Amino acid sequence: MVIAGGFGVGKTTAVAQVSEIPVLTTEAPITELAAALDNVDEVPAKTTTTVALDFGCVAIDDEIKMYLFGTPGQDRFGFMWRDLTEGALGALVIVDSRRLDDGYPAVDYFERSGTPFGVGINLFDGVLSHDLADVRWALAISEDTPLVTFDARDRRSVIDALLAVLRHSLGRSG
Amino acid sequence: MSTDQPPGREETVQPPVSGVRPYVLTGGRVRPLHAAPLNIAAQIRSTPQGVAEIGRLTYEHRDIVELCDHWISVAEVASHLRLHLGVVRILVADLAALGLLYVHDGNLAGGRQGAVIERVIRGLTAIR
Ligand SMILES: Nc1nc2c(ncn2[C@@H]2O[C@H](COP(=O)(O)OP(=O)(O)O)[C@@H](O)[C@H]2O)c(=O)[nH]1
Ligand SMILES: [Mg+2]
Repeated sequence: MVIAGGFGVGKTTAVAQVSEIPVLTTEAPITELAAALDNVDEVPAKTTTTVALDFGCVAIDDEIKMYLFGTPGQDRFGFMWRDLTEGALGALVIVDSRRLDDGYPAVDYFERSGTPFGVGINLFDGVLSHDLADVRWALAISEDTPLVTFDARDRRSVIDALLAVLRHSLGRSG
Repeated sequence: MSTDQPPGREETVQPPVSGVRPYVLTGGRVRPLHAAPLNIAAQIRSTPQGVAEIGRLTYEHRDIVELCDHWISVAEVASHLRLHLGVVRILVADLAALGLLYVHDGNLAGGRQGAVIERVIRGLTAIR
């Protein structure tokens, strides 16, 4: 599963609630990923630009291990989304209702790539700044895209948000 | 860093990734010698040949073969070794091409996706 959203929306917090291991962070060099996908064989001039990637994992049963990848969503990291979503069961875009714009790049990418996704509004201190219908309109997501409120610090709540995405993925898996 | 973790969880202290230009480790290459870069969730494990040849490997290759004495994802290897994910993807693909690592691409065959999602839903509901 991919956990996406702007800086400070609660991605690392959410991954930590579900993961069996302490959340690990790695640096993904974005220019390298771009180069690899663009078929360029030389080293790009700026190889040190990186974006943080969190991950955690949880055993689902004795054969399946689910990985959670958390990353900030930014337009210019579009190529990285492609790497992350290949093989993903679905994506949860976390938004803060006071800063909805930050969720837009991720929503836009998942919509265009056909990745099943849902949007989770992290209810910082229980406050929702807009109605759900307004949020749906502002993010321009369709009626069948799951839109839930949750608390990134609460394990059950995070799992429920993931389940909403997975049920949607299942409906789309044919 | 500490503000990034919810209370009651062990803190993950992550030293900064080496400032050395990362592609020095791959000889300047941004793609593996023989294969496409691996999916970051692909599972890898050292082969007996990898273990046998460990003394002849470069430091980074040796670290990877040593760490992979059990199935582990490419992303976890990057994190444990504090290497850039992109560099690890290339090094791992090279090692696999040399027969020193097994690779199991975590991706699901199309037809099985629905059944797997159902299992994940059941499993997550059970640990909720
Ligand atoms: N009050 C409150 N704080 C939160 C909530 N979720 C996350 N935080 C805090 O907000 C900050 C940013 O969260 P983090 O998970 O690091 O965001 P990320 O940048 O998306 O990974 C951290 O200090 C969290 O402890 C929430 O639901 N309520
Ligand atoms: Mg974070």
